[in-house]
Amino acid sequence: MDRVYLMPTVGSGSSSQDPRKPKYADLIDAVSGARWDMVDYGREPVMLVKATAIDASTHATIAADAEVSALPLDLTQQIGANLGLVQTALEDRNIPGSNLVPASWTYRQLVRGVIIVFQFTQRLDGQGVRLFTGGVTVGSQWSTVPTATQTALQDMAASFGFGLTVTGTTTVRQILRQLYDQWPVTFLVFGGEQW
Amino acid sequence: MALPATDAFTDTNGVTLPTHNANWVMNNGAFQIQSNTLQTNSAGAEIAGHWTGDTFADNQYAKLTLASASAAGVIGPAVRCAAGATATYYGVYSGTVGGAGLTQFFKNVAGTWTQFGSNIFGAAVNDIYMIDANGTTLTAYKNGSSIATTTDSAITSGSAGVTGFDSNTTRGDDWEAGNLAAAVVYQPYQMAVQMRMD
Repeated sequence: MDRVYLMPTVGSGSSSQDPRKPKYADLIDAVSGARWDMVDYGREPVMLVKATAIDASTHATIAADAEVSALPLDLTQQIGANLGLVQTALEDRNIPGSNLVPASWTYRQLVRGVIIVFQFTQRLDGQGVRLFTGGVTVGSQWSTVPTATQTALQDMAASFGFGLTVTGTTTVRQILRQLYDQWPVTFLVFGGEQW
Repeated sequence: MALPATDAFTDTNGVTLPTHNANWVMNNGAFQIQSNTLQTNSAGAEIAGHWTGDTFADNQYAKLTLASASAAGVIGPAVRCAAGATATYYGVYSGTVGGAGLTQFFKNVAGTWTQFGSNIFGAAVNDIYMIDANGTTLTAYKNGSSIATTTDSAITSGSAGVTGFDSNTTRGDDWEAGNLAAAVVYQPYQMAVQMRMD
């Protein structure tokens, strides 16, 4: 079966001998015929991971880790009554949830939304900037974000060709939502499929 | 020069890549020429170099043939390599590490190496590996078939090049790189006109 997770990052990334990769990459690789694919949240310590063809016992081990959030097997079902759990799981990792994810979304739409939001911190990483450091969270207001990070956010938005409208009280989650809303309606590839 | 850029690495044994051709600039580590192929030459370290003889579009590709392999070390093509000596690029490299013939698909951002997915096994001498970057979509190919693909926005531009790891007899040959053909995007009004013409 195929499963999707949010899980911590391990590895220093100093070289391919100690790569940045998902916490359970080695466990997934130990399953015959299984593989993993990931999209990272820039330099933040979390990855969206798709495990392809893993077995039930391996999934149970991964899902039992309190640091892991496992999406349901059927990604076509709506989030519905699990909305609070989903939003909390996202916000605990500084991924906007409360202002981004509605109950009407399916989990497939959630995966697509997370991939899109992750693109913004990846671009910041390419600019040499980590967003969620020095006390900055998704709830931080623009006026409290360091000036260099503010500049990096504006540069990042411009690099995508996106606009960014902020006041002193605009939160980081609102900024990421603004950027999300401007992402073009195109397929995204991840884990051997389009989202 | 005109794209695609090519290099068959024909030169004297032991010549470094930038000495072989001044259009090559190293990002990190070292390559050298051996037996008219490109060989990794940095023990236990990541290696990359990029081609400065042409200007590449953001949407670009690079490919390299796995010419020989050893018990350690990997080599392959890279795209969107940073200018100068910064270890920033997307790459796919292969070898016969542990005898299994593995391929790794990755990004290196300012020296932080991140793997996009599981190792892919089955690499063999004379396989041709290619990587392309098309907007935020990255795809790795073996002998013309896609073997891995992902979405990543960390690196937006740069030059095509080569990448590797370690110092041994793993070698690459027949490097080629160029721009991807521009995609045809139909706007709604164009689609309507096209439908009427059809």
